[in-house]
Amino acid sequence: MRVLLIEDDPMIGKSLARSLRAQDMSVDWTRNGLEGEEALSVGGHALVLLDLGLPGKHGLEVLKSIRAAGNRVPVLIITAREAVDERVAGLELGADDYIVKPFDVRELVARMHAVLRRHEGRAGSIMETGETTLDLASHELSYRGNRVILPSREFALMRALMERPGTILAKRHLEEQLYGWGEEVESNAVDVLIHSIRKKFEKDIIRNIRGAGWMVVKVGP
Amino acid sequence: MTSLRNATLVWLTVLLTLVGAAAVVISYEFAQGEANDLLDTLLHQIALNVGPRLGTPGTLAHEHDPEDELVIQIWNANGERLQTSHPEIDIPQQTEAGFANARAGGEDWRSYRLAEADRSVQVSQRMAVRHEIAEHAALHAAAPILVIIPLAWLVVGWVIGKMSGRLTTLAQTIAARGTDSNNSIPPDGVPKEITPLINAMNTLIVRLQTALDGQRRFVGDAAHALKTPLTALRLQIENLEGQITETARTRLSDLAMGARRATTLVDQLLAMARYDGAPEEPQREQIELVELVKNCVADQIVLAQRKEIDLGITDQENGTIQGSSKELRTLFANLIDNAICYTPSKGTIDISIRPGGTGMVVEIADTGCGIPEDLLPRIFDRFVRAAASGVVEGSGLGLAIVKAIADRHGIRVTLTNRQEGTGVIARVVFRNSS
Repeated sequence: MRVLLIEDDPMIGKSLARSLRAQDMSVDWTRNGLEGEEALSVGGHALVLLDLGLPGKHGLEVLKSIRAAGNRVPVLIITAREAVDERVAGLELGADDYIVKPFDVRELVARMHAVLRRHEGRAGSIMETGETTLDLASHELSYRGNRVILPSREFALMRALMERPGTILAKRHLEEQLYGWGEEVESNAVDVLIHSIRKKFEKDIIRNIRGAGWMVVKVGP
Repeated sequence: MTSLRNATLVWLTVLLTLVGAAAVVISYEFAQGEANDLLDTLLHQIALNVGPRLGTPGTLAHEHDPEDELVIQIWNANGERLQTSHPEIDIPQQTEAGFANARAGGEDWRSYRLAEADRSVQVSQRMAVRHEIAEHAALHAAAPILVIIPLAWLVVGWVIGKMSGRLTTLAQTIAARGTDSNNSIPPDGVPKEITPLINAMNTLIVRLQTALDGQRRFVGDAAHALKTPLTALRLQIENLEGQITETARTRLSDLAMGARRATTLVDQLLAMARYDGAPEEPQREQIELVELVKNCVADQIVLAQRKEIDLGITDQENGTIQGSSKELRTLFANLIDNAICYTPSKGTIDISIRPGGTGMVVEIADTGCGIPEDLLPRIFDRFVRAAASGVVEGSGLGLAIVKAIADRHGIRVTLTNRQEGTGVIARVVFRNSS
């Protein structure tokens, strides 16, 4: 996979290029907006990592002009600004996602894959959060390299949890998601399902918060 | 300290006393001069009109002060005294005709001698009479001033009291100002003479505000500028991980930990710069408090479970609050993070959310080491930490950020040591109006 990195800071650029190459990606690295645009006009990149604070031409300007030229290449913005306005502006100008400095390479790579999947139209078939991936078609759940195809109740439970990663879901909420109105629900039905999933993987695939409910973690630890 | 009232009273009294004294002296002098002229003319007239016989003084009106009586003496050409109005008083015949001062019977006299061909008539009057007239005149001049002095005290005291009352009101207004208030002090109702002082204070407020803003911006910008090198550092550490020996990897994880700590500190400095004394009002959104706290717990659950801490929610009664969800999330995240940091492995953290007397109350109770009592009053200050560095990681900024956010929202946050067992209870009390 060929990636275009537009980043002016030599330290970040060098380390990031090295990290991505270690992930078997080929990286073209340009240090300012104008060079970046030039590289983009040649094309052939699967994804663009765009820093916003660029000399010469601001990242948002670069984004604007490539989208204006009809280039649909996926763009992931790298920014040090937590300011919501700038992020919203980036997304409105057609960026696919953003990541705030400082970040871990693992998180960046996960986001890159997610952007690519969405771009290729595969997004609808796979749910991914942190180290957990759920294939909606095959019902296959994978966690830390372990893959198991789940029975339908367990799959439905996992899907309910992964639809809102990082959110604590109460038992009652999960029951409502899993069982129809007329169905008789055993009081410990959800607990049994969770116990079963945990047994197949590791205990911390589903986190319990005493007195509140269950959740799956949003970003890998 | 100089008192405006006392200084005014003292100087006014001195001035009035001087004016009074001058009035007394001048009145005395003038009155004496006038009396001299008048009485000398009187003596002269009487001497001219003395007949051959003198009346008996005893028949004169008795109610008259005997001191006021004139002594009239008549001598013949040979110098023998023929008659006298007061035989008991013997004023010698003056050698020169006309006016003269004499002394007799232990008193001073003013005499006029009229020398005629066969006799000489001498009319004398006590000097004391003249002094008395002058003294009376002086007293009359001084009396109003003696009355004015206490009156002036009353009036000046009242006026200055009224003025200083306004100054006291002004002082209370100024004392009630927050450090972040950049409104100028209104000069209304303040004496005109104080206006330059207020103007100077207002200029100073603007200058201080600018300096404060500059400092806050600097901290924010500096923290922000640190993010890029920190990102690079962390990327480089990650790059190294796959390429070194097992022993070196342990050291590298220490290095990675250091980089993470630096990142946390940078984030905290940014938060501090954003919230502490920032003039902008926080956003006001309707927030489901249980939802917000649960989200914060969700964010920290990995950290807690890694330490095998049982982090749970004991009470969760619904209630809405108003405020910025972003800032309040930071507030609860910091409190929960503190609880996790200070609670040893296998400890318990209980969170309860319920309505209290004034509004919703959130309590975060841990089973950590607690806070030394002498540190409690300062625990919200920057860089004050409950544990020695090295025992528990942290920057000492977390609670300062909590305080800054709480102040902006009008929320009360208290930290107390548990009564039973060890640990801290952090209590966040919302006000219904807030």
